[in-house]
Amino acid sequence: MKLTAYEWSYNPRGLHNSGPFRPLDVSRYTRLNLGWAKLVAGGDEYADEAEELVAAGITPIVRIERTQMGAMSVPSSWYDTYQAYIDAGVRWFELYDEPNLDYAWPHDADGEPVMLVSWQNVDDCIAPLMENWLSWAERLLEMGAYPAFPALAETGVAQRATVYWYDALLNYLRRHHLDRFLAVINNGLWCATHPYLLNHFYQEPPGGPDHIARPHYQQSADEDGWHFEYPYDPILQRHDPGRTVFGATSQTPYGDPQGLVAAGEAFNQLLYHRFEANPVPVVGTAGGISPIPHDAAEAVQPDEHYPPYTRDTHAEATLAMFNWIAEEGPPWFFGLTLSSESDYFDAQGPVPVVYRLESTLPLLKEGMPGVTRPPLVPPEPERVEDAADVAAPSVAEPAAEAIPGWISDPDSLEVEPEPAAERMPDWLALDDLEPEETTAAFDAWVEEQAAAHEAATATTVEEDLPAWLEETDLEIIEGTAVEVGVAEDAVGLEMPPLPESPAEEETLVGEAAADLPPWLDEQKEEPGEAVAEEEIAPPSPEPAIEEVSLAGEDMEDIPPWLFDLVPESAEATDEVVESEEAPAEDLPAWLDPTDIGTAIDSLPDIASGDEDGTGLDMPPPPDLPSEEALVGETADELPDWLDDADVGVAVPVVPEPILAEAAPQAVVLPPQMAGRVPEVEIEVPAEEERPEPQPIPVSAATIVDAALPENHWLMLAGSVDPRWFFAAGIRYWDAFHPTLVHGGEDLSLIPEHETVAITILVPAKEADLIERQIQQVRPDAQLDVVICGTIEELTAELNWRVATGRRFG
Amino acid sequence: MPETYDYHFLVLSPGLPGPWFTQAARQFWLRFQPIVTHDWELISRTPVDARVAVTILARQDAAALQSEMDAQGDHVFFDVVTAPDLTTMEVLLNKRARLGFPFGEPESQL
Repeated sequence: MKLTAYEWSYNPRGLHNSGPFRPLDVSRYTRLNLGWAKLVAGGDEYADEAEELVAAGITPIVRIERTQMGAMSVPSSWYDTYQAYIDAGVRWFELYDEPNLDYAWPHDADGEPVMLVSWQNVDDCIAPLMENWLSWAERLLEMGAYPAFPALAETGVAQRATVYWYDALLNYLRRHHLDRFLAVINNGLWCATHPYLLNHFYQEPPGGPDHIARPHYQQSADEDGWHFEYPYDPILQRHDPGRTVFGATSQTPYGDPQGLVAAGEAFNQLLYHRFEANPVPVVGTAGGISPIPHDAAEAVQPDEHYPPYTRDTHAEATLAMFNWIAEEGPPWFFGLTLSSESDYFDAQGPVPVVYRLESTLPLLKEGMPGVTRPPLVPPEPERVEDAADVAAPSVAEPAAEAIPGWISDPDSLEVEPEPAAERMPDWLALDDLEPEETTAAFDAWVEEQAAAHEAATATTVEEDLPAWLEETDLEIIEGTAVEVGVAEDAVGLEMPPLPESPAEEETLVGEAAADLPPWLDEQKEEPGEAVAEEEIAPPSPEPAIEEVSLAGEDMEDIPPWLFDLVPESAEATDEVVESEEAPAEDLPAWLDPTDIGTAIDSLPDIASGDEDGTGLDMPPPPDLPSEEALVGETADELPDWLDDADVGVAVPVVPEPILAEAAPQAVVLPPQMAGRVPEVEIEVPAEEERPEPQPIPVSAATIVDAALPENHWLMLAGSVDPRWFFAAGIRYWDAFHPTLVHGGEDLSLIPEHETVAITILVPAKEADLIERQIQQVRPDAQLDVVICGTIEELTAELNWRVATGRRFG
Repeated sequence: MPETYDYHFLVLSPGLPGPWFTQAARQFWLRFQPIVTHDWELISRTPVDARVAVTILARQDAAALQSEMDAQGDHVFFDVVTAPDLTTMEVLLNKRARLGFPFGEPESQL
């Protein structure tokens, strides 16, 4: 079935409802100019609203929900419900919800899943899922509907790994129900995905280069240059060359599907290689850019390789995302339903993107019948020459591209394709493999790719770049040639491969200097800001940091979130510059270069494989099985390496003192620096030379003694907005781990004979009252009152404490 | 399981980095505002006639906290939330926050 044959609105905008049996306000869907409405239903309660939606040109998608339904077979009564929706005009249906996660399966009395939830558990997971799903899909097709392949949670973690699950599920269908599944593909299959894309997107500056992200506050959905093609975008490909949705690098042993279209790309690639099928439609039926920041000052940055986003830029990015889907996204990606109506309308009132969508008309999906906008990308050659969408599997077909053809890089289309054999993952070549062996082959392929990647990084960077990247204007600035001082663009932080020999270092330094793009050359000539080549230190064991100075920026426009970012880049750069003069061992402990990697931030680094979200050093990739180890291994058995991997993924426990020491490198700007960003090279003064902060008001009861009390509580008091804690206090909490409470009701839990200090975040006008109230309960308590004036002041105060290792003011 | 508790604690399993609270449990805390602590002594000091719930965030299981859990009285209800990674934990806790169920979704809900 061709993509153009599916009936839908051609409008990629969508919204997910709030759940079963909730009131559904259709006007919310129409006023946002939506094209999709995802309805999670308990029964046919939304049939009337579905009819209204269809009449308004909105395509509903219905999934009947039961908790922990696992691979439950569909009760016959459900088909009556489906018929009610079909009668209302609904065509798109889903079954099951993220079965690669434990919570989707039945649990025992101890709260544990009743079986091992794993792609390797064919008997209990894979087989029943596909048996019951296939029967349901066939029945839906008979009823004139489109059945969805189940949406998986998008993760690259061991036994939950999305691409491994897709591989196992499709392999099962190929092995046991090839003809039946081919018929489903041919007659209306689509794939539901759940792209919670974190901050895996960015907008390049006008005129590029495309591997640099604009500061988020400059983002505009009305302008071009957006990148939502993760993991194929230039930023990630520079960070981890060659990464695909299947992983293919040592950082991603279990794939990396956490992008807008990544899981859909994986599914369609597997569909092609398993069944030689053309792509089927993919719709994100839950997800979006999440979480939505609660206040204007909050910046969310789950992945430090990409810019943070705020409440306002969340709106710009979401609108840009829908426009990108329509104009630049893969032809098979039809849209996304944002999760969820309650989050966008109710939890904090309508969020800014509501008004943004409301005030702009949607772009319709290119290539659909009646959509006549000229395409931006030349049409891709037909994958399958035969008019029929699906043919019996053949082993002689050409390999798929490691980089998907829909990527809109016109230059790449002129590149002579690499030989197929070099680009096709071996595990996808089924010629000589029995179905049971493909998983092992997948593992072997991942291992080979990782080894090849490591070998390649030991030579030159250029060899790592895929062909489509080499044809762009990207320049590799390897470990050097950085601008010092201005760091508006935190995304300039890079972790390029490191040279291993002095000769290689010289080569790379020379190349970098010669390859600087013009706009960086101009910056380099600014007096006092450039680092002379001879000053460039040899690459340290830590990743070099590339900073980008954006000419013409008004420093006063730099938002508060940058204050957390400037020092770390500035200091790290200083280290690089100074390391020739001052050996690392002479540096103060808090500047120890070896700590940089662990210090930067506590935010997660998912793109770099840090799935645990620690922001700490990358956990070592799990040991992949050797080919010998895989011989005789059946899919039903959980090999030891997987168990080990699960443990291995766990981040090494970092003792609290390390965290406390590391934090200062991330935030050492004293409060009085709030409001400006240094424009020239930052000199890191000795500890004793640092200017004292101008503290915000602190009570006379401020604790002077550094002696640690037996209890330290952090209390949000009075009318302080609890969200301020997450905007301003998370580094403080992470460094000192006080007991966090809201209000003083629970102070009675602290025995009278134990000492207690209470750091109180409170508005100024309520401080005296709160102090008196607490002293009535605990007159011996040491009070550390921190006045909540503005978020910026509070952030500066608490972060300064972290930087100086002081719990109290 | 009673509908409400006199005390609700949130505890991170040993070794879990801070973002498992500050990021994954953000919505959860804003909605339910449990006492976040690493101090099990605090939990043990709750009155025996009080209704106490402890939500434990863990990567695989709460085995590392078994001794602390065993040391608590029968009045303490343990709600162990496991997730293999930060993102999954955030999804689970956000769902609880969104639906208003601090200890997970009762089966009768759907």
